[in-house]
Amino acid sequence: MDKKTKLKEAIKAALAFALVYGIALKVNWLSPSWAGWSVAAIAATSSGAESLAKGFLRARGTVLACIAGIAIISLGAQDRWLFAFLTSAWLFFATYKMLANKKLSYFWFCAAYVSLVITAAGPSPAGGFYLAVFRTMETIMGIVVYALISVFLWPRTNIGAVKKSLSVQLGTQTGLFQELHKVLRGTDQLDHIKVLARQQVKQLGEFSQSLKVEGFENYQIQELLPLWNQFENLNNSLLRSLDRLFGAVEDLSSIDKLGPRPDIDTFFQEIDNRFKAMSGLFSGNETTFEFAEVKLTINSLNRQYISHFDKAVITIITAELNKIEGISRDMVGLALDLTDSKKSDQKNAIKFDKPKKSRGFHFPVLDIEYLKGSFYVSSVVIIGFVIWFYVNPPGHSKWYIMGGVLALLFAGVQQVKVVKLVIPFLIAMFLASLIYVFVLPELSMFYQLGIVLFACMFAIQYFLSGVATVVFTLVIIQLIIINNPQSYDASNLLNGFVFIPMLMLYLFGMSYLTNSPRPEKALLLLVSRFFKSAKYMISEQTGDTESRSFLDQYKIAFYQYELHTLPVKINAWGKAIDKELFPNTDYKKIEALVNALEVLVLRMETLMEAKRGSQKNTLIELIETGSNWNQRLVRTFESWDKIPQEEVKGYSSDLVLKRMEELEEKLKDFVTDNEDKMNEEEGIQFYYLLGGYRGVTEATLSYVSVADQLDWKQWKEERFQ
Amino acid sequence: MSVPHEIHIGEVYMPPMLLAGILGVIAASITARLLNKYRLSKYFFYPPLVTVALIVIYSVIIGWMIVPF
Repeated sequence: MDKKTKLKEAIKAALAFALVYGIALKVNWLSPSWAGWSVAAIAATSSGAESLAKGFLRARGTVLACIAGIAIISLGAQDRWLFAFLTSAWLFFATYKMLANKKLSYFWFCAAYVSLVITAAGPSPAGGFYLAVFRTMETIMGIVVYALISVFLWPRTNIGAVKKSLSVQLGTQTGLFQELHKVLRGTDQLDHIKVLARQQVKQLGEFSQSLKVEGFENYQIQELLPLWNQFENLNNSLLRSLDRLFGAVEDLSSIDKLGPRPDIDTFFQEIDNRFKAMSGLFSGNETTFEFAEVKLTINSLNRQYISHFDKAVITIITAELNKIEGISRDMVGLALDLTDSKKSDQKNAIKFDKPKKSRGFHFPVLDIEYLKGSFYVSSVVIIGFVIWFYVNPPGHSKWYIMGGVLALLFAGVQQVKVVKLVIPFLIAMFLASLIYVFVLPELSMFYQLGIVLFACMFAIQYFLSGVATVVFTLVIIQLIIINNPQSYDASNLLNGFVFIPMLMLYLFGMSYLTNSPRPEKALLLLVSRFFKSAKYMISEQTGDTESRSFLDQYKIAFYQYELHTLPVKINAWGKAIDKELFPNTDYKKIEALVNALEVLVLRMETLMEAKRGSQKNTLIELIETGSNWNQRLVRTFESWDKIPQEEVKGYSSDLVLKRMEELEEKLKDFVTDNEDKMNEEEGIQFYYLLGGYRGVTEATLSYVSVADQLDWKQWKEERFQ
Repeated sequence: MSVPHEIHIGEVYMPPMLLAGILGVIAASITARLLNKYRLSKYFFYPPLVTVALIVIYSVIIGWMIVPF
């Protein structure tokens, strides 16, 4: 955000903040700070439409929290343990939903923490229900005031953001395919494409974000949202297909082995035309073009001068290019629907396959990190409740409420060291205390209070950003408690100084319940889990997954989910490793490790797809060879779960590399003996399967070379946090 | 031996155990940092529990010698 925009946004937020306090005090509502908190929370986002979207999520979350809070009070009013258990269970559920559902994350966050405030009020006449009603009213009032100010004072919207981000992304994709064509012809290097591929990932994220925000404010987008979501999904599929393709292209021993292929030139010309046409459609140009269906054929079997492994790689490249052709066809169809440019002759010219819905019951897979986060929050709340009731140290009910709120904030980012926030909190509290002690008692009229509130919120919004904004806003609202009539409590203020460090230490101690908060230990555990999942997926026999038992289906879905999500988590924990304590640890090497794992996952997906396709192959020796290779990979992954990582290189290179040479010799003999028995389709499947195994082996060796550069031994040593 | 009494800053009174506890935490943190720096922490089985133990030990020693509680 540039300075001029930041200034305007800070003025709008500060004005809304002062106004909501004024309205709440004028009509004598309970606790005006709730309305202030509502304004502060939604002002923290970057754009007007996004703020309104967040405001509505907050309102809906508050309503749900009120219902949950009142239900808990009504059920558990006479039994403190039932009350604590119900609150803890509700927090567990809401935290899991908050972590699992990124679109409604803020909704569930509000549903969780507002319920804590309401349940803490208890069943008295001025208790839960009273609080719930006022909380909802003041939250909605905060949203309405901020919305009106956003609309009438320097409005800022996101109109056109979707189409703008899409045109940038399509431009990158066009460039990417042009470069890929050059690489396959041998006139360029793969490294140039990887930069474009990384840009594409970032642009896809921006497209998704702008779709979410503009979908909220723009009716046209909202009306066609299912189609836009489908377009987004196709972009994601394209990204994954390109990743697999790059991996296979890297494996080609020399590029010119593809030989002269005029069909590839035609293929890339058609893909180029399609992406340019989509860019034109989304820019509002009337595009006239004729589509052609292009499909590459695999005719590598007849070429004797290239190795079997290269034949396998060529098979994979051809298969992935054909998949990309299919995806681009679907994208063009959707682009025509979205821009309403359907022409009957063009529509008939394109045949696109609707995605097949797989049969059977689909069940959600539970994420272990989200479960740990939810357990952390629920245990903080229940033990905070016990501390409040039986010990009642400085802070009192805040052990229950603030403990839960801060635990919710840290549930998804457990690599953040909570104790590091003690100093910022104390600084913020000291500054707020100066206002509380020296400024507030001197005020007698609302306009004076309004100026102070305006100045505080303006300073926070203009000069601070990120976590500092949250910390200072929280402290200002909690410490500068405005009521009518106003009273001052020095002991409450000083207790706050004692409470905050104790709370942070408590939260830090509780984090040991779920896992070690030491980043290197968490990273080791995640890597171990990755190879456990990899071992299971490789060892799984191909077959129709729907004929398996429910438990087997769940295990497959679970381990597949683990393989896709663990590299991102490893990356997050890797960033948190302290460079002072681990001078040999370079974050770039961890990034390379994560990249190696992601490539391994993609190669494994290709292998599993190839195994499914080769099921009907009746050549017994082929099946046995594949099975042998399978077992070696399984033993490799199993061993990495157990052996010290510093021994990975020596052990695994031996296990994998030598066996590869033996298997290649065996395959050469096999192909020579069976050339007459194999038909073309069996041949293609054979090379696809071979390419799959080779891809996983190459990715495994690549991981070994990266892992060798890291200091696993020091990571395994015990240390003080 | 001095008699345990409340500590005050101006007219704000606080228990001596609070001060001893704060000093104990600071001393334990310094010890932990030094042990980490010279890689001596690898000889402990579970350092987080050792940290808690160090806090208690330092708090008691400080309470006995400096800030009686």
